Amino acid sequence: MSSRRPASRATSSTMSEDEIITDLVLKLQALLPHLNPRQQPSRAQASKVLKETCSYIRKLEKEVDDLSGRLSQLLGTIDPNNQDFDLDSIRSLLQI
Amino acid sequence: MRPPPNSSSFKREFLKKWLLALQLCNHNNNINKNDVVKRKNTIKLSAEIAMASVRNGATCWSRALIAKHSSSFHVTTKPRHMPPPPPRHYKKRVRCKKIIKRSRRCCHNRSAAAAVVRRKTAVLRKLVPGGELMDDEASLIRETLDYVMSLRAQVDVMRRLARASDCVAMCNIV
Repeated sequence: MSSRRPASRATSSTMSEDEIITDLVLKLQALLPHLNPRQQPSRAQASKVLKETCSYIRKLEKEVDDLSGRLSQLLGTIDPNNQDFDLDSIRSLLQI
Repeated sequence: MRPPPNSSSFKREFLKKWLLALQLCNHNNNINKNDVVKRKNTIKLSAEIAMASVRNGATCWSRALIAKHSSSFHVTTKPRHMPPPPPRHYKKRVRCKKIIKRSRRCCHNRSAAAAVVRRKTAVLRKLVPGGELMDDEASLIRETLDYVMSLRAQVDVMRRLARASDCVAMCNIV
C-alpha cells in the first residue's frame, strides 16, 4: 500500500471500475492477517481501506436501487408469469 | 457446487433465480401494473433474494439476507441449506462483548488510530448483512469481499437488463 502512487487516488474517477475493484480487493485482502503475517498494514491504511469499502458498498446498493427504479418503468408491460418468458433467449440477449 | 461471485455462471444463476423470485413475488402480491413504486420494490427485493440464494447458505451475509426476507413471500420448496438458527448465547455474547469493549476503552494504551479502525469496522458491520453476528475481523473482511463481489455481479446483470430494455423500448418507438 505504501508503494502505491498518491496520483492513483487523484485519478480514481478515471480508473475503470475493474481497476477500482481490483484495487479494493487487494487492499481488503491485505487486511486479512493470515495473508500478511509479516507485513501488517498500518492502522491508518486499514482505516482508509475500511472507509473506501463502506463507500463502495453504499454506492453499489444505491445503484441497485436506481436500476430497480429504471427497470420498474421499462418492464411495466412485461408479465414474468407469461409462459413465453424464455430464460435462454433473455440470457443470450444480455450476453451472460 | 457454488459458483464464485465474480464468474459468469454466478450471473447466469442469479438471472435465473431473479426471474423465478419475480414470478413468485408477482404471484403472491398480485401487483397492479400501474403501481410503479411497488413494482420497483418487488424488483429490488427479488434481486436481493436471488443474489443471496445463489450463494446457497455458504456465507453469513447470504443467510442473513434470506432470513431477513423469508417472511416477504411464501416459498413452497424448502431451501437445501436451511439458515442456521441464531446462536442461543447471542445476547450473552453481545453483553460480554460490551463489557470487554468497555474495559478496552478504559485502557489508555489504545491509540486514537485503533479507535478509528474500530469505528470504521463497526460501520462496515452494519453495512454487510449479518455483520453484527461476526466475531472476528478476519471473518468480517472475508464476508465483505464476498458480498461486494456478489453485489457487483447483481449490478452488472441489472445494468444489462436495463440497457436491453432501453433498446427494446427505442425499437418500439421507431
